Amino acid sequence: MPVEIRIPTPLRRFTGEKAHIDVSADVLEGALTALFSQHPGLKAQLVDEKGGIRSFVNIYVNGDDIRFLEGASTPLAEGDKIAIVPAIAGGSGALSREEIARYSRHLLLPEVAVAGQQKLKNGRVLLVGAGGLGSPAALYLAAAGVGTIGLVDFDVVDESNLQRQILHDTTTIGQPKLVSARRRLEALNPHVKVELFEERLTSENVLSIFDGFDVVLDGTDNFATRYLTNDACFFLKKPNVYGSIFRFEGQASVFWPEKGPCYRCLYPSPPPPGLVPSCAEGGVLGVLPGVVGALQATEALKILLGTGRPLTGRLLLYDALELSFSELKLRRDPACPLCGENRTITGLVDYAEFCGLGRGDEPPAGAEITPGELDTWVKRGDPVELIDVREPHEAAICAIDGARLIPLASLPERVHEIDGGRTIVVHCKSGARSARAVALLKQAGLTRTYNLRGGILAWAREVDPSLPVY
Amino acid sequence: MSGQDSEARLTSETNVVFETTVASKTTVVFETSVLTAIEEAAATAYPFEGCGALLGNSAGSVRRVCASLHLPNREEGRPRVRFEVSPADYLSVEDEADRRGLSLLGFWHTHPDHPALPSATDRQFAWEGLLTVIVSVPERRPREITAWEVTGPDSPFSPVLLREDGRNGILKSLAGRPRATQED
Repeated sequence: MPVEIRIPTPLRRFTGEKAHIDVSADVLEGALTALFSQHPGLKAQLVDEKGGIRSFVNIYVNGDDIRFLEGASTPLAEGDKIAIVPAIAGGSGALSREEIARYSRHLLLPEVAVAGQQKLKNGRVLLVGAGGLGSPAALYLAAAGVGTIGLVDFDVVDESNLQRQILHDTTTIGQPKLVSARRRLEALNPHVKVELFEERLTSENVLSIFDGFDVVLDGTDNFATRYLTNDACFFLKKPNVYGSIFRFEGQASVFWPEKGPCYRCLYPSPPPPGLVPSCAEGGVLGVLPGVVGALQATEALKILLGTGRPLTGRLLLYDALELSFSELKLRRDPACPLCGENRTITGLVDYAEFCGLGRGDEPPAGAEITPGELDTWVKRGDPVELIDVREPHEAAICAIDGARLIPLASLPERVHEIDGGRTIVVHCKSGARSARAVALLKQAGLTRTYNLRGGILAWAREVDPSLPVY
Repeated sequence: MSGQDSEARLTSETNVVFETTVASKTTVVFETSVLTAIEEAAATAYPFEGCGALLGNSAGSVRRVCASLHLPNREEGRPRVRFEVSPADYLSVEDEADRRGLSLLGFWHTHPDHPALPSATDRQFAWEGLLTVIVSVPERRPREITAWEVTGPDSPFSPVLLREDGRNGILKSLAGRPRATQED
């Protein structure tokens, strides 16, 4: 089919200043091939290394963008008019007067300066979790002028969060954490755009949520999300700024695909449920996430600025009681199931069902009873031995009448103290450690053992509201 | 893996957007009415970026601009610091140039509250063969005007000398220029 191709002004130097070229073709791709054979210089201007049309060029057939037709396969009819249109855009991308005043201490640093501040402004950082680590990180990133801050969280603010989660305050107890966080961040810096994802991160949504961001900051409190974050960052080749905290100790690193190891090089798969206590069970010094979250924010800023030496290939360990920082060298593990030489993980994995931590604190299905059932047994006078596997300082806060305290760590050597002739019910704070204890007792031959679902928190909620919760 | 993992350093990309030492041989001569039209459109667009097309003739290294077509800024996200010309507007500009027997010489846009220096984004979208003209607009009053061109796909911007038709000397500032009465 004879068709006409319209050449824009800046490309006419390749066509001997001709504005219109006639070719014959049945589909668009054929017309372009014919055009390039007549005027070879045009090809490099219009086609990228992969053979696709360059992003700065739009092609129209009879006034319609081919991206909304059939692309290169768009069929042509006699007399069709093809137009090549260069993208015309730009702009100062600039800092306003207010921004210059606000960021003046950054602008004075040669390593940041105006160009760096603009990189921060164009930067997009996603925080997974708006809790202990996410709070200081989000506040410092917003203060620093990172243009877009994304937050993923689906929790609500609880009174027990406020000891460390400084994005939230007493007035926002009971509100979604994201609502509370947005209010705080926008009050701190109105130049920052806050994007909220109020959902649990899953293998279904993780890629689409991460996709638009330059850096992901891992502030999760559970292994399911931590592994999902690591794996998604690997598949999307995005730097993952990792931090974790427990009691008085913190860790941080940058897992940057292709530049260094990933989290699975360190820990190939998640621990079984209950083995590693969460902060909700083990406690955490409130200021600890402040230190670690600020370190994570620092790394995210360095990545956006493209300056300094990132914490890639290094695991930083912080001990608040000793006030010591130490560093472990991390290497990519050739046997890593995700980024090693013989990869066994080629897609995303949802660990939620058997990781059992964080909000998904549910112990594995099986030998469980509810607080209501236990209450009935006790009131009925059934022979029940109730074992509390928490730590003594937890039992000092609250305890169920008649429970015997055997902390999980000492359970193996004290199994003989337990009367195997009775029905055994084990509880902890919320059910994870006791699930581990149940498994241990069953191994020891005590098969009539039940886990108290939801732990003492559920007991307090459903049976004895007079108990203080923590 | 390699011991370089932990030694990796981030290197700041050297985003040289423009150089001022290598001046282009091109000179742009604006008719007074064009400067007046740009000035008005630039002030009207404030605090957003304004933009338009420049039509005229080329003779050797001299570009003579005799018309400015003011265009809507189609940038939806951040029009204070970005501008975009829609493909439809681009095509209508070329149609209009054909109708008037003129050439499309380039596009102008404003930098509200920011100097008339090209940004990395300006460089990214620059086309060889089209001038990039930038007008700074501090507090609604158009001030500096600069023009830039690229000579290759990766070359930085080179500054282009500007003159106003009928006046001696180099044109740098719109402020303080005698007000023209002629309209395009």
